[in-house]
Amino acid sequence: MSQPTGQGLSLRNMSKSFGSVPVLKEIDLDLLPGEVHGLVGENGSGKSTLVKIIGGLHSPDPGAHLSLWGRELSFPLTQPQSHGIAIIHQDLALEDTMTVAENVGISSGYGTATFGAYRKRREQRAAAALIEELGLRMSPTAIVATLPPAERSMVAIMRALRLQRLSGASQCLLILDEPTAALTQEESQRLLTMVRGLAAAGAAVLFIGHRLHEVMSVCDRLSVLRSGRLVSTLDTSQTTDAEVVELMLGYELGEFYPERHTPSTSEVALSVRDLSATSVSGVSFEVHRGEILGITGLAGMGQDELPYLVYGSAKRSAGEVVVGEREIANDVLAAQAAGVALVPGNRQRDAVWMEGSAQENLTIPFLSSFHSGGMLRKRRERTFSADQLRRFGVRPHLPGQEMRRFSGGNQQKIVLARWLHTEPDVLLLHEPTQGVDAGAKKELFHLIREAADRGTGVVIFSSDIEEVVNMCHRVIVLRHGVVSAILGQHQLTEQRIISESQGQRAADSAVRTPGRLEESS
Amino acid sequence: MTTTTHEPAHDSAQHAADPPPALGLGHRARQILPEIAVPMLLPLTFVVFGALTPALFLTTTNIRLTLIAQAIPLLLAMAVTLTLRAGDIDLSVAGVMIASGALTGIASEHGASTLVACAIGLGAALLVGVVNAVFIVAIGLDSLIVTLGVFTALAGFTSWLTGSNLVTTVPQSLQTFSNQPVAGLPVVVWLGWLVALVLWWVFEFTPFGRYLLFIGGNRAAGTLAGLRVDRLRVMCFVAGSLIAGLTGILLAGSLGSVDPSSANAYLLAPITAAFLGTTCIQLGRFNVVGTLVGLYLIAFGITGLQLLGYQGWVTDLFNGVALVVALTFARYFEVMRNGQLKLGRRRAAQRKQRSVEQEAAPTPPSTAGSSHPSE
Repeated sequence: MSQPTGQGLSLRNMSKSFGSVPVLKEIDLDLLPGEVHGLVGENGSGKSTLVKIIGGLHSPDPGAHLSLWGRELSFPLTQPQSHGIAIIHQDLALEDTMTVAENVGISSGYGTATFGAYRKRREQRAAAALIEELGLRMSPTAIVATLPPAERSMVAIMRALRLQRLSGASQCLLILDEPTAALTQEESQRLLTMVRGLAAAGAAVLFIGHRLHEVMSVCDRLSVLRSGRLVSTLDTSQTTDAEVVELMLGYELGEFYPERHTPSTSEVALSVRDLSATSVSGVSFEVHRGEILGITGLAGMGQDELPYLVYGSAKRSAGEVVVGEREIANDVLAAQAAGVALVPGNRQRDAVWMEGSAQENLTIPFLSSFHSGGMLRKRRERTFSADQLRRFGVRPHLPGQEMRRFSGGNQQKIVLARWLHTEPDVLLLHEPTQGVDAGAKKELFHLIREAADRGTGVVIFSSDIEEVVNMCHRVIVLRHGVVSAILGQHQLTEQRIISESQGQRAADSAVRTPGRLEESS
Repeated sequence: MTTTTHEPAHDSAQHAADPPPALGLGHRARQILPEIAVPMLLPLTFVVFGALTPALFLTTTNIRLTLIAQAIPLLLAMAVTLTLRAGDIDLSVAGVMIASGALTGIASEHGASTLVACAIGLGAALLVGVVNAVFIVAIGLDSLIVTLGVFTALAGFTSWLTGSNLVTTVPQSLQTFSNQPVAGLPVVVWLGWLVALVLWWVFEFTPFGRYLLFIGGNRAAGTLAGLRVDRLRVMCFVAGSLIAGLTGILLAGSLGSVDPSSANAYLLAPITAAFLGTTCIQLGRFNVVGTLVGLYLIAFGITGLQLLGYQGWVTDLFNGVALVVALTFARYFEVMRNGQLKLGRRRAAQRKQRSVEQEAAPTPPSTAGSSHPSE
């Protein structure tokens, strides 16, 4: 760990527990002016909590020290903007229908009393000054909705800067919380260039990113959080992506994804033909028994509706879904009867009854199998459930425990166990590892792999590109609701999927025939 | 039934299956206490009122009279519990009861045999159940509002039908049957208990009862899990209405007359009992034993107060207060359980030295971004 500099942000012995659950453990972190510092870590590793402490929303446990620009501050931080702290969240909280100047000024109350006069000229001048200072090209009177995404992020940053200046801060600590998550690659590159410009002008920037290559390219140094501990701070020039991933996960990535077996049969488990609905049109694909097919795309490109269309719970406008030989109707029960199972992406809303027990959530689709002699055989159900929870590595394996008391990963294992028990021919997984910690993620991947090895045709609908690249035999990329590419295993790279999902390789027609199987080797 | 052969996804010392956590006596107590706290008030009622009015409260006559008086509310409470368990509410049951009872009497007046008259009463109840189901399940309106409307409409309908006069033409055989004493209590009391027993069995020992809980807890998840959610809800409304219709016939039989303006008096008590029931035995769940406890707790509480000299107004006051107190209890137990949640998590964390997912709350698919860094 580097020596305290007393110039930028310096955290010492920062711990935080909620109730008795430790979330951050003795974090020491230094951030220098002029530096872009990356912060990476899995879901639940404590990144958000750390940001909330710096933003004054939480107080750390006693014994923590925070100094900024060489001054020790006490907790909870009040008016962080007056110390030059600005936090930009993924949701920029901009009012799209208003102008740049109006958005920039709003947090500072336009520098006037609530019922004071709004001084349009002054606001516009202030915005124009910031635009010039940051070297941007936009008009203070432009409507925010008309700006490209990267510029919109900059509007949010300008607003934070204006608030700081009005609060009397002379230096700037800028915290960017996953600012590029919703941006295309090109847009995020532009934003990152602008962020580097801010650092060059003397700001200290903490960049929380979810795309490691971005973090590596924009940051001077990065810190890795794992389970609330800061495991390492590294110079980005002296490390590799693989090393950082290992630090984040706690084990090697190679072990993380199970080995891909070649399907032993080419028997088709599911075939979807010309499926259309509100967000997809004319989508066709086939899944073979034992195969794992990935379907991905940028947000809103149709991959979020597709699983529900195949499963029959959302309304199809055209097309057919064939399982085995039979065409199945637009109805959940028909799909289930044909051997289709779905693990929904929104677990809390669509998959589990949170107040119910693990057992009640596990056995619900086949509960009648415990009904014999006119009554529900509860003891048999419990024994079965305890057994299943143990087999699926659910911790704690208490069948009577309320669902809400399990972690996200364990809830997901229970949902998966529910459907795997029905021995489906087709398993549809929508964002199967969302909100799941690294350990559980790994276990889920192995469970999915095993299901495929037993002959189930698996379809993973996921926006997690790394996941589909490492899990799937083939990947379909959707763009604006149509199949933009079908990539075989030898073509699977994250870069390729990103460029296909953004339409940067429109000419590559060899892999663009919908519905044709790319033989994976 | 087939069993799958899932091996543990992987095993290592770190992830070896943990033994179930040892539950201390304190934990046990915290678990049990909320479940039995409200039921324990029932014996407490007997102790307190028994001590205050020794010659009146703890007598067979008093207990018998209270049980008889509660036979009708008990049946209605069962009807209400049925729909509540599936996540809906049926406020119309008291209206259905009065309408069915009045119809039975009027059919009899027009020369229908007892059986036919009863069939007409039940048929009307069935019809109301179907109407409720159409508006709530098929059209998708809110059950609270629809059934409140139906309740009011039924009260109006019954008034019109009877000319707001007492219906006194209840078949004699029905009256004899309803008041037939069996082991010291009239048939109507036993029938109420029988309905409760059947419902208890259905709730606890059939998949149907579990399905209702599941769709009451998360309807969308029930649908995606393959439950026939609409059909289940329709069944609850229809069955609840039929129970209410049966109650109307028994009301007519046991009283010998039906007062068309009496529906309001039966509106709140069954609902109070059902909600109070969610704070008993199975917390947060509408269950038969809980409803029974809630019903008798209120009934004996009111009886005791009346024996102490408080008059009629105490009934409404007690019912209303009890409903709000019941809901407060339910919230309190929820908080208490959340306390356990933290406790359980601390133990888990200590055991495994693994952090919980404080930040990993599931997000809707639309905002689904990869939070997993790319290579």
